[in-house]
Amino acid sequence: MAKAKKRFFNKKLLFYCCLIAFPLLQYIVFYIYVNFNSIVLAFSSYDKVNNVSSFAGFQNFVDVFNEFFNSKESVSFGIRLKNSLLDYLIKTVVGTGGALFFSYYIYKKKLGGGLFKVILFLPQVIPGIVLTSIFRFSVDSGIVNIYNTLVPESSRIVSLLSDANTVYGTVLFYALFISFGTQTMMYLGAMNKINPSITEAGQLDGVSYMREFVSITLPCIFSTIATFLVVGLTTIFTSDLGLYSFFSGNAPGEAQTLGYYLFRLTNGNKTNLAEWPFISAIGVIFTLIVAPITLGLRKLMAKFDPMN
Amino acid sequence: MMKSKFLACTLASVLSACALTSCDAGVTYVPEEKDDTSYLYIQVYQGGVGSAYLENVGTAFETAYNGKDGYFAEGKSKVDVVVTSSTSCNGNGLFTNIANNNNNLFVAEGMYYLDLAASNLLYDLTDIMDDTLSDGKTIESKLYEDQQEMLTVKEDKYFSLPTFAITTGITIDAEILEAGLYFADEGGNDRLQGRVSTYTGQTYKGRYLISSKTDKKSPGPDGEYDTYDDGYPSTYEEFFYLLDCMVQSNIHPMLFTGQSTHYTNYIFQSLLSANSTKDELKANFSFDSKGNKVKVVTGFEGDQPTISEEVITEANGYLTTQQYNRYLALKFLSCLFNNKSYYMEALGHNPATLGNTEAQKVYEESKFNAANGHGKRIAMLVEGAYWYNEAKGELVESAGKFEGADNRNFAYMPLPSKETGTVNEKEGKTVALADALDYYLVANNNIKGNAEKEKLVREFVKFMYSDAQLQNMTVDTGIPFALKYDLTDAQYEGLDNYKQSLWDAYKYSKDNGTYVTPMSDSLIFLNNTDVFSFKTTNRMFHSYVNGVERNNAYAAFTQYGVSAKDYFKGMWISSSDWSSKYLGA
Repeated sequence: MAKAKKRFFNKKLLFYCCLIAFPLLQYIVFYIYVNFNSIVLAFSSYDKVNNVSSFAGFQNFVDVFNEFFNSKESVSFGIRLKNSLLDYLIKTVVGTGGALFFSYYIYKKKLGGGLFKVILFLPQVIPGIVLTSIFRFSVDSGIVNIYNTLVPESSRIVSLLSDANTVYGTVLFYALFISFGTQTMMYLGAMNKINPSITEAGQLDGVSYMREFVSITLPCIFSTIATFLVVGLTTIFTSDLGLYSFFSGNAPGEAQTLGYYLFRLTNGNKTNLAEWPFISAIGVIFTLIVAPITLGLRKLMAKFDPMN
Repeated sequence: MMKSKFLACTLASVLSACALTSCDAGVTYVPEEKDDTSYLYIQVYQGGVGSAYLENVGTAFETAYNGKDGYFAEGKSKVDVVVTSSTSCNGNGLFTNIANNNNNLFVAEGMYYLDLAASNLLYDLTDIMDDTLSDGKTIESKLYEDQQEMLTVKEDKYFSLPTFAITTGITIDAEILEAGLYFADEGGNDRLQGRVSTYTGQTYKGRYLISSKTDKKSPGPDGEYDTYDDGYPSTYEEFFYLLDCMVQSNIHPMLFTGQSTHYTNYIFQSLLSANSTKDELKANFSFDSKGNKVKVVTGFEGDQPTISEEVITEANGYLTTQQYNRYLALKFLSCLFNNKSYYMEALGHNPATLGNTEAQKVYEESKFNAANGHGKRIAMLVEGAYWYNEAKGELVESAGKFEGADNRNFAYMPLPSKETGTVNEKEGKTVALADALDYYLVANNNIKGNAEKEKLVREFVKFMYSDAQLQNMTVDTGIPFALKYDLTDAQYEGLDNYKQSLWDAYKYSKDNGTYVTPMSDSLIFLNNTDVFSFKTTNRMFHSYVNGVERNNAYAAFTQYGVSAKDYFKGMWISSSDWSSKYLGA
């Protein structure tokens, strides 16, 4: 009996294609096309009146260099860079550190752990703009009112968001608060996957909670931590700390980050094609800086992964 | 197995379709179209101006064209104009969705038409510009010269038309002035009894106030008697004298939203309109003072500015940022914001939470609340000309609640043009009024090739821009259109007090040839609208003080202790920056 020839394009492949088509299309449109277009734009100039693009060489990159280092924006650029780096540092140390401790607490099923889980998850299900409004209201009036009743009249403040000394700290706290729940949940998920026999063995050996956390839990979830650290690094040039939601295009100079600057510039020139090459050049420069650092950190993390 | 695969595929397709269609593509859902009717779809910006004014024009258009068999299309004898409003009906929103938008015409806010025209998104309206309208005029003849230049940058064609002249600044409760706070022409009542001037710190050199309603009022900032600004403060010195008198009379001078502090730049805009000539103000956008010399500050000796006079051209366009008028306006704002008794009490304990519509309510109700022993009456509100429309609901509610709340005596307040002393007859200047919200009409280029829609759009635009409809829309909204036309006496008399004051200011500027379109045909302007356009949130009003960006003078003065001089210097664009960033671009 002749064996039926197996067709290459069968129903299984069709099913696979159906599933993969949409994400692939999304990847092509929103990643490959967008990035390719940005690179092309970065080397172009645009004549709005005649609707003509032309090759501009490295002029846009020279303009970006001048804008950042040789104009009245220079000091602001320094502040934005400092704020962005500080944001990453604090999110890494306080955010990741705090989330690890918190998730460990919940993981160990200590008092109120379940309740904390719900509380931490709540911000994730509330729309961002609602959360921003609630937060804004509390730091503009609620907390401020309490503070003002406790201090002498000369020390009173109008709002944490409009005070030069408190605005950056306030938006940084907001950004930490927003990302805390997600991180905690992710770490908790990773911790729950740790084989109970390992922790039980540790307990039989009489290890303390701290020893278990450092020597068992952290190594077991290292890959999750590494992912957060690597992904976090990519946000150095994109994180806006919610500044646009709070202030639209008018965030105080002290609190601005590079991500906010780039977003505001893009949003302010949404329809102005003549500015897009300059903005694209900024994006390309940021990518050139952050891409090798991110790849390096990823390699480093893989090297130090105790589970490897 | 097959079943579950089929289900999975269907689910994936549905989810994909949902994801792809979830964006707002500007689609308006309308009742099913009838075969005998031609439909014109219009979208307006959902804001303070509302949409009723255009619905009324639509109804009039329907009445004029219904029954004309086959006029717009074979077999159709009726016309239906469908007007909807959307918050995405602005430059940004239309740039994204106009190509797939089923609306044919748009009245949009924040519209830089060239951005859309460059991408061939706008329908060419040139052909109808010199058609004779029902009033015997043409649309082009109703445009100001600078509008014509600005609107024909691309291929010498018109892709957009001006609509509202939405000015910004201070609204005053003129009833308060009538109770003895107008400036008197001669003599007058010195309510502050020789107190030194808050503005100059020296002996007050301005006029005093009227003692009774029958006293002759001063000629006001324009130096002409029997005009709309009679009795208003003509110098900064007089303005602060007025504020001090209000404080003394237990009246709270000023209120603005604390939530969006860029609204305070409305005063900045209004001051520039007041103290600049048409060419001086226009030069901020055209970088061309038309051969006229403009006062610019070249440096400071201590706190004293060194002033020179320069003709502004594109080559030295950076000098517009050094205009003396800007410095004067900042000195005024510094004096205003650094005296918290002028505004802080009305802002309340939580100024940052007071939104602009709440501020409108607080303002208009303050008269009645004060009469009932709750707080003080507030004299001025910092807002755009649209506020009266925006607060219509509140005003109607108040009229039902309080006696005397109907047609309140609110007025658009002309601001002083000079710094010290007073303005005598023939010594003043006419305000150079400018629209601050960039409201324009555009047509969707996706109607091209559709003879019915093209004819509908053309006929409707001609109908809308006839004097009769411009007048109707002005009466409906109270806001003038930035075009050359007039109201009849009866129409003017029928307007509320506030609407009359807006028309007065506009007409005065129009008739004196000082109305300014804050855009130009300069490529430097067109390529950098986020830097040079007359928007309160844009960089035109930003400053870099010690290198740190400050977004508005109010925050800089009150929270960061910045001086007017430092804020002003932080606004300058250097000659080298101008050459590298703008001139060569």
